[in-house]
Amino acid sequence: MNNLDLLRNISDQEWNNLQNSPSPVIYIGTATCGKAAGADQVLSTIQQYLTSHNKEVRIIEVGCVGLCYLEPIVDIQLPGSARVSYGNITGERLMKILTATLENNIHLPQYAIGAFYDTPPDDQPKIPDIWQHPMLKPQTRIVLRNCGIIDPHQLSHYLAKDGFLAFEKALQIGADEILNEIKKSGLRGRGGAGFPTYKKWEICRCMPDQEKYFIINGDEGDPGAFMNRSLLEGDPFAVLEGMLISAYVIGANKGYIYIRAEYPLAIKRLNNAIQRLKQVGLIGENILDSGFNFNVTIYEGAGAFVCGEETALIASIEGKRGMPRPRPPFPAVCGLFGKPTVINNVETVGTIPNIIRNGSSWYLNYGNPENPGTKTFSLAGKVKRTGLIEVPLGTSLRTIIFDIGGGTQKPFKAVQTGGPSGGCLSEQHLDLPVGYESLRSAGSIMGSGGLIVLDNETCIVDLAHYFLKFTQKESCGKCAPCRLGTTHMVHILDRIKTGAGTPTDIDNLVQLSDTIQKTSLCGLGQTAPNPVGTTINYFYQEYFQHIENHFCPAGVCGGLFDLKIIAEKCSGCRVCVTVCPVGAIQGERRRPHLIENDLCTHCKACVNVCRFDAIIPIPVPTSSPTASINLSKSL
Amino acid sequence: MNPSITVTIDHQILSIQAGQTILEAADKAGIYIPRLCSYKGLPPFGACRLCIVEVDGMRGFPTSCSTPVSNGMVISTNTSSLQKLRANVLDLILSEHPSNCILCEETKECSLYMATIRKGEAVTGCRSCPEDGNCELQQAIQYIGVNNLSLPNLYKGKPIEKYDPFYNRDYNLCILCGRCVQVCHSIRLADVISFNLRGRDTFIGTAFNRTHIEAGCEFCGDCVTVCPTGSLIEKTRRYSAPIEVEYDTLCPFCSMGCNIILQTSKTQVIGSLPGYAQDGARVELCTLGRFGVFETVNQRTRAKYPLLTCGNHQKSISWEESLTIIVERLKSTQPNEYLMLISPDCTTEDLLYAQKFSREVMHSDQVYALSHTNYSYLIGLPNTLRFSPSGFMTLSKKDIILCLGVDQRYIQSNISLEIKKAARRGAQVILLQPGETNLDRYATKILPVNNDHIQFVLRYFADLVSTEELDSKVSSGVMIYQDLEHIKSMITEAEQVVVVIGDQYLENQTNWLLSNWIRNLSQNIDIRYLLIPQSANLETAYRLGLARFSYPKQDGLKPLKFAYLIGIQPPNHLKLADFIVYQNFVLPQKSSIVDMILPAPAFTEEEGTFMSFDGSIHHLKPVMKPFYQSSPTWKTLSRIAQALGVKDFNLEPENISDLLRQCSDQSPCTQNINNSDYQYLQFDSTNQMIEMNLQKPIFRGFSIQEWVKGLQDLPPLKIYFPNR
Repeated sequence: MNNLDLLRNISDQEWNNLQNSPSPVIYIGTATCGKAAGADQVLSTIQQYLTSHNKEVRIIEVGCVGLCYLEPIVDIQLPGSARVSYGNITGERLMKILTATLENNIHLPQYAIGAFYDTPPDDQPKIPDIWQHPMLKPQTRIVLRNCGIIDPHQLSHYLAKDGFLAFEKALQIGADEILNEIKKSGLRGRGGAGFPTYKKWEICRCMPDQEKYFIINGDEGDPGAFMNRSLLEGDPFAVLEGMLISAYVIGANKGYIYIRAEYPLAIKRLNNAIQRLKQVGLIGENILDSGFNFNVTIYEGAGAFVCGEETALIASIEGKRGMPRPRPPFPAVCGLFGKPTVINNVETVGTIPNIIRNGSSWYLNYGNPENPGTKTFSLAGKVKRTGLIEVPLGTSLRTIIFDIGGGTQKPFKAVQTGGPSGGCLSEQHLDLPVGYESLRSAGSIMGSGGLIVLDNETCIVDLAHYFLKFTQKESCGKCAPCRLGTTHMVHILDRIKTGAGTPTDIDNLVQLSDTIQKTSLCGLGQTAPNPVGTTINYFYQEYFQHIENHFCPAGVCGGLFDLKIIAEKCSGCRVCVTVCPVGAIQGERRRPHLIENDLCTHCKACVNVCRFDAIIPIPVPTSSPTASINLSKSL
Repeated sequence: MNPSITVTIDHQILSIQAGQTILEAADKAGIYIPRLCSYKGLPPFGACRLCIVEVDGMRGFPTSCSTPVSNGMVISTNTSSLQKLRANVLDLILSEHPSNCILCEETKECSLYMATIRKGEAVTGCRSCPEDGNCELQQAIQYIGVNNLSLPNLYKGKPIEKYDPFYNRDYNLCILCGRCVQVCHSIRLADVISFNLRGRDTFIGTAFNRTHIEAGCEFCGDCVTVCPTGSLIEKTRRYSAPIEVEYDTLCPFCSMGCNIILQTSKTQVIGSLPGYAQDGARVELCTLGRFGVFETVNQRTRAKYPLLTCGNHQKSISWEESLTIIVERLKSTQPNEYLMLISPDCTTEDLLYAQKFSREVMHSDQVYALSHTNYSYLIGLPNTLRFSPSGFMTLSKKDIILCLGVDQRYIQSNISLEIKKAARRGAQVILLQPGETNLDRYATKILPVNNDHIQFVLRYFADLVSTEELDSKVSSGVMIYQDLEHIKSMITEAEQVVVVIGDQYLENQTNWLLSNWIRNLSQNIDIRYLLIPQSANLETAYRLGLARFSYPKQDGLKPLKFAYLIGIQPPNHLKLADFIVYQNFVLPQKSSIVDMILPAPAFTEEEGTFMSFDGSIHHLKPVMKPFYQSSPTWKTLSRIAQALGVKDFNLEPENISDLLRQCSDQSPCTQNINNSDYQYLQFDSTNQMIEMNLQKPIFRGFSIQEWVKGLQDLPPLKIYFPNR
């Protein structure tokens, strides 16, 4: 077929029928975050209920709408009224909601997150507009527009949501025009490096070879990052449309999607989407009668963080050991199997259809001239509201953490951005806008969008140690600075964490960081010391206390703290006494209690239950047995 | 021809060719940049990070080994930042390497007094390492300097891998430069080793922890050659004196004529490295040339003095006495009572003098260069049909390489390398062999044929097989008709066919069939043969009319009075002659069977010429003085002739080069011999080999594996159908 009109008409009808369904429709979020929270059990419970109550109700599985802290999320659409989203659905609550909606045709506002109104209501409805939710209101969901709304298995849903309009437009206006649009839009690679996307395409497009490749990098190895996963699970067709447009521009007839094997659901949904597109001829020979041929293969990773690096990824697809190689030559000139290759991140590719469909000037409305558009972030850690968000670039960290994320329970300490390649920023940096250069000036990076919020119960030294251990284990081992430099840094941090640190350790860490950053072969090594650099800069006191005083102020590093109850804050409620496994807490009811340090195992169960924040870590007195252990270690 | 461009390196403006890396340009301009993982002929790897430079306009510190030059580039190779960074990287590299000797205060004193301290197995520092003084890491340290080695040492504590032959692997010294992996993968196409695991645990090794033999290592030694540290080291070098001088010479173990570089101390030949070809390219060696030299020339049973057998012991005598005794005996020996057997891996001079002496002085035709491997009929194939290994580069899709009985897993593995490369270029490889070889991966078609059936196959190709015979072979499951027919048609349809003749099927009848088949086919198609006999100088012996492939039967000869064996061992079970003289560089296995032993020099101690399989002439250069009283055979024969009163027999010339000139004037190497002239070749009608049960490969009458122990560990061919 030479256009999608017929298919589009059918899809529009289908979607309309769904929206105006005469019987109830239940949408359930079964992305990985939902499943982790128990969505599968919720789904089977609903199915059982429907069978036993003989209900004609459609169930649609959707992706992640980004409110991960509220999963499992179930949306219920009753005939004639707006779709209402319910969160934290388990057990009893589910039954109450099912009974209310399916039996009694009413909603329960006390459990609702919000409703999807066609037109935002003027008055204050009982169930608020979901887009006014404090976590969603400050966001601008462009790339994630369909996630959690449509069924990622149905091409018709995607088509009904303006899917493939951009690709059809691309075929009409031609590759040069598309390249120009992307150039004007200022789109930069969303994988972290921020290289102008149009430039990479242009270099590859100009290569005279007939055989070219387009690769989507879905390795997403950063711990705590799940932007790409959610997009692939929630709206795989968008990514594929972006891929078709990109491949068309550079002249590639073969594409690879490199996904880490640890994302089986994303792989499954992507596979399904590819098969569907093959069925309708949107992947294959002579797509839409344009003469453009394109085929795509999914290639699974095998558990190596380093394979997120371009040249290592290419080696992996070629069947070789995933080890980076020196550049030049760059992949756009000589890449997969020696042919010109463009590698783009999942999010970059997912953005493309939106830019082409709405125009580059529309895209420039968001963000700022150096950092146009929006970016997805995985907001995780000690915030009250964790999830997947999308904001215009230039939004401040403060807005993200406190407005969208709802702030921290305990006092805010730091935010870790950019995963193992990034750094920790402190309270003084909260007004920094997110962007490529802005965070770099503070010593961190935006990276692929991981944002981990830390409170005063996180030990910064422990965090730096964690990230460095990660990069050291994931190092491919080819170059000495990364392989051995990170090893030595981990050893130094090991000693600091166990109270055996020495004053020269900080200088050594700084010098090692400098060498590793400047001489490593690839991005993994070049950015591996970042967590240490920023933490030393902004949290020097904590290092100092670990080394000089053998004290971990966050109460994390074993042997470097004792616990003490602040008498003024203690109400004598004795909850801590009941949870202490060794009976180390003594005191009379309603009087301040005391922890016997000789018995205390530092499990911190008491800290976790105290409602008055009355228990704090204190340095180990030099006379205690623990202190002498520390002393012997540092000898 | 690449265009000329201008770059500036360290304020020097240079006009150079485009298309090279900064490192290559700097090397050519004589500007030194330290490096450990880069190696000529290998693609840039970028692992050691020592070759970093600063380039105006490029951020960071790019590696000069991988960055191509461009017009107008401004490069600094030794700024203070670079110096500091290099020193830090070197510190890191040294933190997992035994570095005790580097900063030790006693290091100067120690190296004066401890010439070879390598008595223990584990290397704890430079002084106990076999590469001390030859190590590229030491060179890097000298140029860059070290920072007090501030980091704690992370010695890996791995056991030394010593259970494979020829070379040991001490991966505690390995700096993961990757050269060995690269050379095994891109140069030798063997893929035996690779990087395993990752991060701190990265190590070089075979897959699944197999031994190197199991992993298919061809023991070519390239990895040992390129290793910058003492991690990979020849077993024979581990406890030897340090290398003082290196010489270019020739490998004597077969007729390929590969150039080798002999590494010597003051008193001993330590080992050999690949040499360089005419065009300056590094030669590829096989196991023998790379690892066989030390144990061959340094073994304990070298012949030192002339010995006379008295009863059941040997008495040491002087050269004069020995010559006197010989002359006495010869005076009363008739031409038909005389026999001289010489090994075809002796020098041309020895062969020439052997022939001259026997024919002109003793007037006897009973002089034979006895080959232990039967190349009869094949050695006579016309020169015009001979294929040159340099021709492998030109073979492609429409060409066929037919390997007949070729087992080049270890010996002559450098030829199988050329075949592999041709296969990668598209040439079709057909293997006819009795067992699995290293070419199986590259073969288009493999026909398993054991010795009993090869003649049938050759007759089938020559259309000499009746339908009944074919049916019986097919129905008994011995042959598959389609396979035979397919190969036959592939051969007829090919543009060029190269027949590589191995030594698995050699036998008179088979050789004759093969030789005829090639000659006949050559009239219709472009067919060539490649035969590289394992005897170094067989071509000369053949052209002199001396070559013989069977041992003369006792009753074919009248009882002999005098036999002179040069590089040949006498048969055990019969007394060849009344008086047997044996001249060789090693003592015979059983000294009591011979009557006189004369010491000859090893190939490292003598000068001489060889003609390789393709007719080109190569020279052997002596690098040591002759061992004890050993003296070259040609000299001995010349002295005997003189003592017998023969005038004008090329008297003992003092000047070796005179001799060489005289030899080459007379040697048929420079004459045109009609190779189809069979009159010089004589075969017994029965063609029985009486006694020659030596295990190949063979050198001067011995199985080389008696000396080079590692050869005994190499597995035999895994036969396809042992019971058929």
